[in-house]
Amino acid sequence: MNCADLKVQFDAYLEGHADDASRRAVEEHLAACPDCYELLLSSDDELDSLLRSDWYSEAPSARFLHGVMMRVEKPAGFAPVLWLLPIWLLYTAMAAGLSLWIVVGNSILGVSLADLMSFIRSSRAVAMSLAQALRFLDINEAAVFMLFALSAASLAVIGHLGKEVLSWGKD
Amino acid sequence: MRDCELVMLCQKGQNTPFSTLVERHQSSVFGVALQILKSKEEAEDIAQEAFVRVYQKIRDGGTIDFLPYARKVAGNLALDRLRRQGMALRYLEQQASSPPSSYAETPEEAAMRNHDQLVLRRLIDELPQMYREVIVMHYAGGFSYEEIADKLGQPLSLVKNRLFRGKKLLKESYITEGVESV
Repeated sequence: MNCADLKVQFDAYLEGHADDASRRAVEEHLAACPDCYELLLSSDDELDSLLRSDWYSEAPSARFLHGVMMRVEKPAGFAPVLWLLPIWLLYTAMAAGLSLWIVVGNSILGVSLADLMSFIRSSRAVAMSLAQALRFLDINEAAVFMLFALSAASLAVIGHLGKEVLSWGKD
Repeated sequence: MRDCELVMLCQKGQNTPFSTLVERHQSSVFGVALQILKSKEEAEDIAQEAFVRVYQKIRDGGTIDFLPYARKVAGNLALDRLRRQGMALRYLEQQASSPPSSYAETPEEAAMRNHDQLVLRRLIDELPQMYREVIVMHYAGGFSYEEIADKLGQPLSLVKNRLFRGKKLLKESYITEGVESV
């Protein structure tokens, strides 16, 4: 099919009256011929110019600009300290701390992991808060450092408590 | 001062020109994310992240056309978020509800907007999802046909076909709208 053939068959194609062979031929030509495609797309000047305007623009909230500048001007913070730590140690400590919190929550408070996951899934607000918290951790090394310290402290406290419990049996 | 001049000042280490660029283009970049995500909170988060990525690109010495680049970054991030959070179902549900309530404008905002653009936006919202997504990606996000085909995992011919049919549907709705409003 050439460009002239396309113009003859295109109306039937658009109206859904074209047979399978003609439909395939039109689609193959449109896929292979950028000129025909552009011509057809821009044949309606009024709609095309409207679509190329900023119809999608929408003013964000008043705090938007401030939020962007905060994110690009983040302080160096604890980064030099953080980079001295092996990354595997950081993640291991965080995972261990989280696991221990879940185990303690389960055994003492009766909160199972399934309950926790169900709660998170059921609450979009909580999910959004978590996403924001993760983003905050991603951009703020000080927060990551604090979480690491908190996880390490949890390990130490639980280890100490475990030692005490074991020592009771000996007394 | 033009965008390219402000970008050059940013490359020299100044932040104030970047703030001017964000202020100038925040509505467009936020609008792209909003059209895809349909949630003001998430769109703000994505648009802010897009500006941060643009800032990093500028600081790394990249030469960019500010607004088209920022729009494309916002579009990419918004699509990635949809995909990552498995929100396709929510997206489809929102297509069915018309007009979307999550970003309803106040009467003052609506009054300030060009009437034709308002009508166009509503008609695009009412399009079937498969046509709407290619129109939003192409005209708001600034993606080429090839990029859309790549992102949707669809043949180029199908993307072109949907774009054309989507525009045809829009035109028909636009005519009907005009007749009804007379």
